[in-house]
Amino acid sequence: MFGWMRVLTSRIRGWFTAHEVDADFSQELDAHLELLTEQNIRRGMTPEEALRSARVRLGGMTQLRETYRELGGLPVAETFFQDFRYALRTLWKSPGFTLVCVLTLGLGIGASTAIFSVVNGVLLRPLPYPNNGRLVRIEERHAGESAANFTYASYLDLEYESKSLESISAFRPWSFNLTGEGEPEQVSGALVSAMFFSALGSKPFLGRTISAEDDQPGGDNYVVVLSYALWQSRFGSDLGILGRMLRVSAENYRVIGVMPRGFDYPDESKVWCPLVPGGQLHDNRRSHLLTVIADLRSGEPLGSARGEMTAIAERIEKQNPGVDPDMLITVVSLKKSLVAPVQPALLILIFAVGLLSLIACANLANLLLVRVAARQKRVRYSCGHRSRPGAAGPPVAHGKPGRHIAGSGAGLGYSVAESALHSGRQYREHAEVRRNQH
Amino acid sequence: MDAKKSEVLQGTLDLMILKTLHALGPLHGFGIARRIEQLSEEVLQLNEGTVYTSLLRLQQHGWIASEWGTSENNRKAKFYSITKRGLKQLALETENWERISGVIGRVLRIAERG
Repeated sequence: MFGWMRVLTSRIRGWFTAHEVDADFSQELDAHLELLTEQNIRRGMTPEEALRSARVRLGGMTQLRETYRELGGLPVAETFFQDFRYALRTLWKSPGFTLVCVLTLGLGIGASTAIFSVVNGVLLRPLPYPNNGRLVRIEERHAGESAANFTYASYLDLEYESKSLESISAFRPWSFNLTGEGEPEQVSGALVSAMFFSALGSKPFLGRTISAEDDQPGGDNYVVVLSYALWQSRFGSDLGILGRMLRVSAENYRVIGVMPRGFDYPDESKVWCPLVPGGQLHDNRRSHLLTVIADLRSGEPLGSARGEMTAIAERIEKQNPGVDPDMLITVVSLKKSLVAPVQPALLILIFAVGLLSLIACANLANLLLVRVAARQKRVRYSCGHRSRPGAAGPPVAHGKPGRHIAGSGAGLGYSVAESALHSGRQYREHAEVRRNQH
Repeated sequence: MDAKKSEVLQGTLDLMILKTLHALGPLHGFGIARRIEQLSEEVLQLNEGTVYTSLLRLQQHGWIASEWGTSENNRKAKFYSITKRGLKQLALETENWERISGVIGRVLRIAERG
């Protein structure tokens, strides 16, 4: 069963000891030839005749040695390394050409790889939430205007009436000042309603998330949920953080939970507090402040949710005449609503770098063609002088240097892409720091 | 080309060499070639160099082992001997060969009658 493996190991060993094997075999053949010759002499031939006949019996020695070498070693590896050496030599001889080719390819490959990484992360990969497939964002629209936020009153109507959506929740991005122990810090976060975390399908890493009781006026609503990143950076991953009091925007808040690593919706939030409706907020049909997300009830198509929203919008409009004229409620997948602003730009960019790579390839092909043409002229001159048949000269119009250029180009491309992505990340961090300073 | 002489199939040569080493014990390439020549009564036309490619293949499979020694005319020579694994292979191939040659023989006899 492992026969082929034994043969392969033997061949690999043979390849490494090729010189020895060769010498051994030559000795063996010589001995054989001598013995045959002696036998022939004993049978009455002249020494010359004996040697000639012995050679015939043994067969072509050179060819035999070649076969033996091929059989005993790794001819594929042999050719590969020959090509490799040949390519290196050729490329070394024309460093300018090599440099231009490698740079062309490197930039082409690097640019497309970097952009593709971004496209992959933003457009292709799903959101990192378990409910990703059913997660929707609900937007209030008015005829002739772009998407608007919800009022608290409309949100409550929606929550009360909708049958096709579940875990309907509202939030409002907010900025918090953390004071007390340590450096004062301004962090982004959100005021969220009770169902916010279950809409996203996210469970806390420590403690609990905000409950319906927390989200009641007059209740114990000074509670806060921290992001993993904040818990790590500001509180040194303290496992005893639950129940600790924290100064948040000049009020005392109790820490009730820490979210798992990577959870930072919306917009890299680090802190979540209950969206406690004040007395005024409840009836307010004028302040459009809330973003609303929800899960499609399983098995419910997006279309039926849309129909339902239209009906709800009509009812709200009828019950509150003159407040929200021409109100529409639309449902879009959260993923789509998140990437919508950048999608066209990204698609144009990836198309552009695709084109760039194609141009790089075309340039390279041209350069190689020119070289092949030049070499053919040279070979035509020198062909008449090639002495031995089968002498090891490189075949004409070799594709090998091309392959090695491609290899180095790909390597350079990788580093270009890496550094582009790296500086992109750094730029973002920079921008964030500046934003926080203002 | 003499019509009475047949070319030796590579696989057949492998089997013949294995059997020779089994029957006669360690031998060098020249000895193996002589033995096969003698047994086949010169019917098989053997390019003696091919014995060595056969020997190499058999060695790669681990069916034979080799060792440097001294030949009858006091020269350095490589001696080949069959291994345990080689014995197993020989039994297997012998059985195979007998079955196939039996079948071919029967087929040819039918053809004669028909």
